[in-house]
Amino acid sequence: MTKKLAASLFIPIFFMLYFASNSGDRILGTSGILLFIIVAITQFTTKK
Amino acid sequence: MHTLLAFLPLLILLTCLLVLKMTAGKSGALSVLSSIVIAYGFFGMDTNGLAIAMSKGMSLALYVLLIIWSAVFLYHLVYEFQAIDVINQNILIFIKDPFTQFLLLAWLFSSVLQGIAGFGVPVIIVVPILIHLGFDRLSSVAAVLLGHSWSVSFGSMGSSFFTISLVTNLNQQSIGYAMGIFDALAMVMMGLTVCYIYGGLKYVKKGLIYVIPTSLVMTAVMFTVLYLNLVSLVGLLTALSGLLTMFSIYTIKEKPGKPEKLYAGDLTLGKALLPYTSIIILSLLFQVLKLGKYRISFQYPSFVTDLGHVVAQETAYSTIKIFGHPAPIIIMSALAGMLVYKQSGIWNTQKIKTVINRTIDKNIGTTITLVFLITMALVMMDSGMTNTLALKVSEVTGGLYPLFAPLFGVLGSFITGSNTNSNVIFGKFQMSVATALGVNSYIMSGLQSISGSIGVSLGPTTILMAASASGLTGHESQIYKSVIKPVLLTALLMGLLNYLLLFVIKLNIGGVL
Repeated sequence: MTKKLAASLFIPIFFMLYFASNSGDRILGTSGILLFIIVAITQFTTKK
Repeated sequence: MHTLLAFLPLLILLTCLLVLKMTAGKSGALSVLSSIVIAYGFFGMDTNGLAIAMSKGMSLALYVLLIIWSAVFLYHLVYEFQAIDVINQNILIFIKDPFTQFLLLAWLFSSVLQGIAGFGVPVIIVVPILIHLGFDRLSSVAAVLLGHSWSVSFGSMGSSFFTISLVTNLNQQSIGYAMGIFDALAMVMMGLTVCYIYGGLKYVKKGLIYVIPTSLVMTAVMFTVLYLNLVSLVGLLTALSGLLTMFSIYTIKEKPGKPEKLYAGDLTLGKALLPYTSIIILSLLFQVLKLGKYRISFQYPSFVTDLGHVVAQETAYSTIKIFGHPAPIIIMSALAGMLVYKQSGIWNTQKIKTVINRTIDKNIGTTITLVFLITMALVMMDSGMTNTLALKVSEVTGGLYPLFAPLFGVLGSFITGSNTNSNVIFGKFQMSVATALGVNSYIMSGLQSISGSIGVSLGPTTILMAASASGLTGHESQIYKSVIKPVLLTALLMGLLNYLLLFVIKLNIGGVL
C-alpha cells in the first residue's frame, strides 16, 4: 500500500465511523475500526 | 494495573521516537493500535465508543490538516516565485547581526504571528525564513518551536485563554492575571533558550541585554492589556511590544544607520510580503466582522464505558469557521499573492504545478501520522485512560502536587498538540485538585494554561508541521530531543514558582481560595 492510498483511505474510514457514531450501526462502526487498524498495520510495509 | 496500561500508549510513542528513533508515522501507528487494544480490552470501551472516539479524533485531525496543507502550499508558492528571497534580503538590510536576526525572528516575530493566527502558522512561516537566511535546520526548528511557545496561551486571539476560563468557570480577567505571572517566567526562559540554541552559554550572556528588558516591557504590556480587559488582544499586543522593544535596543546598541535602499528582485518588498500581510489583515477583519455563523461542525452522542466513564454529547465538535479558521485565510492570502505575481509579469503555470506537487509530497506522511496521533489522544480521553493517569499522579504526589502540576499541562499538549485541548482535558482537573488542597484555584488554573502553552512545542501536530516546513520529515525524533529538555526545565521552574505562590507567598488572586 502506498502512502497516498493510505491517506486517501482515511476519507471513507472517517465517514464510516461518523455515520456509525450517530446511527449506532455496529457493523459499519466495526468495519471502519478494522479498516483503520489495517491502514495502521500497513505502515510497516508501506512504500513511498 | 490500569494506570500502567493507561500510560502504555504514551510510553510506546516516546520509546519509538526517542529511543528506537523510528519515524513518527510508524511510532504513531504503534501507539494508536496499542490505545485501541487497551481501551477495548481493559477500559470497557465497546465498538460504538471506539467509533465515536476515533471519528472525533479524525474530525480534529481534519481541522489541523487543513491548516497544514494550506500553509505548506503558501510556503511553496512564495518560495517558487522567489518572494521569500526578497523578504530575506531585506531582513539582512535591516538587521545585519545574525544572532539578533535569529532571536528576533524565533522568539518575537513568531510570537506576533501566534498572537494573530496561531495553530502552527508561526512555525510554518518563520522556520523556512530562518533556514533561507542560512541558519541550521534543526536549530531553526527548535528555536521557533520553543521561542513562540510562551505566547500560545494568549495567542490565536485568545482561544486557549477562553477555554481555561470556560472549563473552570472562573473569572476570566483574574485567571489572566494568574497566567501572566507564569507567562513572564516562560517568556524569559524561552528567550534565553533561543540564545542557547544559537550559540550556547556565551550567547545566553550576550542575549541578556535583549531578553531581560524586552521581557519586562512585554510583562508590563500584558498586565495592562489584561487590566483593560482586551482579552483577545493580549497575545498580539504583548508580542508586538516585544518586537518593537528588541528592535529599538538593537538600533541603540548597534547603530546600524538608516538603510539606503530596500532590496527588490522581480517583486518589491511590499509585494513579496503581501500574502503575509493579507493573513494579518484578514484575521483581524474576520474577528471584527463576526462571521462565525458560517461554520462546519460534527455531532456526537454521549456514551458510557463499562467502567462507568461518562463521555458527554457533542453538538458542535471540531467547528471549522469558514471565516475564522486559518486555512481559508491562508488560501485567500495565497490567491492574493498569485494575483500580484500575475500583475508583476512573473506568472508561470509550470511553477504552480510544481507548487501543488510539492505540497502533496510534503503532506502525505504528515497527514497519516497526524490522524494516528490525534485518534490515539481521543481514544485515551474518551476511554478514561487520561483521567486514570491524572488521578494516580495527583494521589501519589499529594501536598507536593503543585510542583508537578505543570507536567499535566505539558502532557495534555504533548498528547493532543493543542493548548486548548490540554485545557479541556486538565483545566477542570487542576482546579479540582487546588480545591481539594485548599489552595488558590486561579493560580493552579493559570499554571495549567501556561504549562500547556509551552507544551505545545512538543505537540505532534506542531512537530510534524515543523518537520514538514524544514525538510526534516522522518527526523522527528531529533526535533523531539532538541525540544524536550528546555520544556521540562521550564515546567520544573514553573512548578517551583507555583509552590511558592501557593504555600509560601499565599498569593490571593480572584478573592477566593
